[in-house]
Amino acid sequence: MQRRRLAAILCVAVLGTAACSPDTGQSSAPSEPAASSAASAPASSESPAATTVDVLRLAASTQSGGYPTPYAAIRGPGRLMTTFMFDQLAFPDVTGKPRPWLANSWESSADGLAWTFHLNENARFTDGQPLTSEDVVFTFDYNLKGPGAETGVSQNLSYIDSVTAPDPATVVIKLKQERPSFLSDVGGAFGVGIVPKHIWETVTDPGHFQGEQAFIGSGPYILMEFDQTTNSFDFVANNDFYLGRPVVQELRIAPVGDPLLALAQGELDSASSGNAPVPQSQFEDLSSRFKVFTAKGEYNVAMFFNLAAGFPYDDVTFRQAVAYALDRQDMVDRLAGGRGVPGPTGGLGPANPFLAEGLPDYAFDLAKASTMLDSISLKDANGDGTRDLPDGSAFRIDLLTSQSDTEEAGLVQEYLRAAGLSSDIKAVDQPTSDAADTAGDYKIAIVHFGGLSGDPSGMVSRFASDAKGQFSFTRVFGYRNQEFDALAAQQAEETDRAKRTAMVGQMQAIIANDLPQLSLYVPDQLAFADTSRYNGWAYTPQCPPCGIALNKRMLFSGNAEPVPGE
Amino acid sequence: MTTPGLALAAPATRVPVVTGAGVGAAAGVALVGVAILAVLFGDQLATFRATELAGSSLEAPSREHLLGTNLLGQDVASQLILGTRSSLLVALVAGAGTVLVGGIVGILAGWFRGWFDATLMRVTDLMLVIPKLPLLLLVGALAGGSALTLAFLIALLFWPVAARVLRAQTLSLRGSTHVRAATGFGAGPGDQLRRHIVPALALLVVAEFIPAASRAVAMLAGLAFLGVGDPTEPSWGGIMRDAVAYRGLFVTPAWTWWLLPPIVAVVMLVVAITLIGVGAERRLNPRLGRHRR
Amino acid sequence: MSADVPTAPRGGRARPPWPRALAWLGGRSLARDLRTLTLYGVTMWAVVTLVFLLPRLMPGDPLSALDDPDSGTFIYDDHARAKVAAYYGLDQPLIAQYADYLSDLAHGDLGWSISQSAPVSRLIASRLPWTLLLMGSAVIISSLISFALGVTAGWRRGGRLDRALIVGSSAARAVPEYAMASLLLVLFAVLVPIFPLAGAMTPFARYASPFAAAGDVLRHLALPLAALSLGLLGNKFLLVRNSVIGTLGEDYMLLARAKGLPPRMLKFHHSGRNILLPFITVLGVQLGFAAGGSLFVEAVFAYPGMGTLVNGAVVARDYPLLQGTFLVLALVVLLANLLVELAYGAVDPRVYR
Repeated sequence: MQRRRLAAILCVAVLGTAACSPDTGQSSAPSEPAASSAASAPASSESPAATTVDVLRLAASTQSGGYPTPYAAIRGPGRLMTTFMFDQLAFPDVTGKPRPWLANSWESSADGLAWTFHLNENARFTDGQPLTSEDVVFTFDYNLKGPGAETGVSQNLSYIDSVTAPDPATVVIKLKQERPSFLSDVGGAFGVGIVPKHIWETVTDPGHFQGEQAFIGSGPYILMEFDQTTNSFDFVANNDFYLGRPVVQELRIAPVGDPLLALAQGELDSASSGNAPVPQSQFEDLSSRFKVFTAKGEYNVAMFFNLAAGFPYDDVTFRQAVAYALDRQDMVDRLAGGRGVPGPTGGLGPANPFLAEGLPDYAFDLAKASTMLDSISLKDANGDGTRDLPDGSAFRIDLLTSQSDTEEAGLVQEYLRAAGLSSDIKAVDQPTSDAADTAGDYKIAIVHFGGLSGDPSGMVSRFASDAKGQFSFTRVFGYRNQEFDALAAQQAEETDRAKRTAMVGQMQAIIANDLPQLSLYVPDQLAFADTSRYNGWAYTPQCPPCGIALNKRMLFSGNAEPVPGE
Repeated sequence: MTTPGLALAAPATRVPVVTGAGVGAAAGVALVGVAILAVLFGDQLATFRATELAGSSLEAPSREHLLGTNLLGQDVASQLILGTRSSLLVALVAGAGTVLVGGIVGILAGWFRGWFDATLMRVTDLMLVIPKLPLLLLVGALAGGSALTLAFLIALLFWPVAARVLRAQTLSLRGSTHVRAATGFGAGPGDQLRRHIVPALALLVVAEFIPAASRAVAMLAGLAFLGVGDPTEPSWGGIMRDAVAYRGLFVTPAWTWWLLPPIVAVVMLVVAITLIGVGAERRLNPRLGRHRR
Repeated sequence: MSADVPTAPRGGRARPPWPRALAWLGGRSLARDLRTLTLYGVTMWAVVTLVFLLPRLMPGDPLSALDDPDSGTFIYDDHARAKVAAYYGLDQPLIAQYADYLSDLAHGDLGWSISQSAPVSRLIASRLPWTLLLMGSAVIISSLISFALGVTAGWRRGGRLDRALIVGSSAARAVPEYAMASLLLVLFAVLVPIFPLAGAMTPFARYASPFAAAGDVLRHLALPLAALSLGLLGNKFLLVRNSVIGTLGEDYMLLARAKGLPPRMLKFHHSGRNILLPFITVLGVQLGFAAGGSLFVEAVFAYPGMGTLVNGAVVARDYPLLQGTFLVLALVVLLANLLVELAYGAVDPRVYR
């Protein structure tokens, strides 16, 4: 951690702002090994940018990620596999910001509606054909209006008006409205992978298009072997890659039973615990042999109130009282072995760049919870030790949860009990729980989800009353706050970062007060890696499936230094 | 029907005079008795509620927590005692249900044969052909399943196994000499079933009940592991599921006080039922008794 | 009564059972064959319809397998979402989906998995062999062991060995498969790491010879196989043992004993042969159950078999994959049943007299 931060500071100091900005239009591709080794030389003497690494062995999930093409890959982990083969105009570096990749540089018009990208003129596909602006235009058209649209790819880009190619090395993208998330939408970890026009123009059903042709891209790696049965991948370096020869020459990504055990037995070069707690003894053993990487979490287990379920769920005092009754630090201790934090109350994760300061933390306070519950007449009327409804009838809270969050639900039940609230846990399987959450068929739901460091648009889809999100289980049911809605609409088109941060901060303050949802806890990200041969390990923010290993920029350059830029 | 005189040829030398089965059965009854005590007085015996946060995470066994605590800090010994109820109930309901349905279908089909047999066997085939575990996953998710619901489901899905075995044996018995002889003497089907078939099948019924009961306990635990069932109901399977779901279980000594006790409990219960079954063997197979005398 | 004894199998008559079975097959009337076929056909149709309807009755959205709200690529736009639903034919009314499904099935097309982006038939073809290997060897090994142990124990009923075997086998049966698998995993892959942690083969291994490959497969097979066999063993052991005891009092046993035949002959030929009927029945059931039943063990060892495929399909509500896997598993069971029926006739000619 310390070293990486140092490197970041040095990059800025050595190269200066002009060289670090892609907006100057003239900066060469900063990821070329020569350039990055020059930048890294003063930063770290142990960074072997010039030497190559034969092979890295990494863990994959046993869960299928679909078929690794941009149109048939599934979910984050599956889509990430396609990035090794298919390049985007930009790709995130270790800071998570999109940095030049297929495009050397770009600039936007004053009104923010027209973006001009300058492509790397050496770019070619692995079948030898050059990659030109024609392929970029084809891909966008194919994804937005062509057969690709049916697979759902790039559907978050419906605000794009047109994509044109004034010359073979230039692409102009016009937007219907300003969109601060545009660059990450096309050049973030899950942006738009450019496919070869000469192959895909005849493909009418891209979701079903398979075979070697389907894997031809321009990226730094070639998929040599893909075993769908076990979900394992063998990528070898594309040594003709237009930015240079990749440092890591081969990537073997296959599922192992338990990654930490496999790492300890020497079968892997790095492993993460996922979101599971790591026993202290195992932590000490692994950290004595490997380098430890920790980062604030992007995944949480949260409590959702259904505000349409009537009293007391629609009463803000009740929701706040529940928040005070929950010992969320105790949850961190018990469920994450103390490695994590109680969830920030404003709806964004602890590592989110938009996270607001000074939100109420609702620290565990049973007396306060008790007073608040008394104040809304949830009192023990019949002396049975549990609180009853104002009319004297028994009050039992329904806690809906999926099977994977029953431990969290169990703890919540005990905390509520201490506050005199009795509850019943209803645990169903994941899709059933998701469906019930989506339909609003719950009183209080306990739900896990990730992506807490993503763009605030994710938060909008959870809380804005007019948000299109009826298909998502993370949508809070029955919540309507006009002030929030107005801010949400405003920030979506605000391109001034400072102003947008202020608006998102206000939105978080509203959520933290209204508490339609309360993030219970956020476990830290934790990974271990062997640094004796390779130094590119680092978390990429806003890319949970990347872990510390699966960002192609690091695998290609062999180091985890930030790319100079704004 | 055996002639008493031929009993001379029984393998008397191989059977110990002191019957171990009696001792075993007594032990079995004792073990089941302990389990029943745990069911009846569980609330008094357990020092904590099953979900109570009685200590900190993964405490080793101590005077306060005889079997330590689990990841959440719940008392494992108390969970074990309180989990006896649902485990025993499931074993009983699923075992009895399986054998009852399977027995009726199997014996009737095997006895009456013809279209009756064909129809029943086609239904059995249908039931056999359906992939049961996946179906349990589906239906369990649909029904939401308390332990009792799942026990009924297990009985409803698994009776064909018993039905098949019992039908086969009924067919075999029907063709055997003494039954055919009895038919020759004019015995009616009801009389025959009662006098010849059912008693001869009793051993098999016991043999089917035991695995059905233990399978139900194990299966319930397995379903819990895959996310089907009610995790709030304390059960032995639930303790095992929680333990195995904890990734760090095997790199710490916690498995010895968290995973092993429920396994030992299940094993003891099943072995006890088995021993009782074996002890009952002599009573159920009178001919054996005669040989031994 | 004793005149009937010779109809029971006799030690001296070593006639192989197969010609009898073949004669039984060939000798059946066409009408009877047709009726059997029709019945099996109806059974299959019922299965096919059941697996079409059941998943669709379940709450849950198959499209949610494609994207989760976490990833930032979740499709919030209703219109776009509807387009994707149409792509998978999920916008059609139920009856139209059913018709499509049946017509595809008639063309041998099992459909396209939503959650895995692949033809269902290919997914099954890549998984079934592993399951058959794992389950087939588990059923065979546990059968051989349980048969030998069961006959021995039944023969020495009440003895120390008998009691030890009863306790041991029922203990083995009592431990839930995944707990057993987890225990084996910790003992022989973590504490004493002599077997691999997971999988069916070393990923990306390049083998010097077929023997090296087979060795690798066997090394990966060992622990899951042990966990499964132990579970299957208990069930059959008790059955064999109790059936043997049931035969001990039979007249033909007494006669054979009176003739002074050697004990080994008595045990395995006379007694053993007569319990084959229920034994084969259980075997058939286990074989059929086996195809989908190794789920727990597969899950613990990340073994790429049918069980985990089905479980994944259930969790993802992947209708086509659910339909395909259920159907294939059902066919496997049906096949096992047919084999059992054949074996009945072969082993005990009285059944089809």
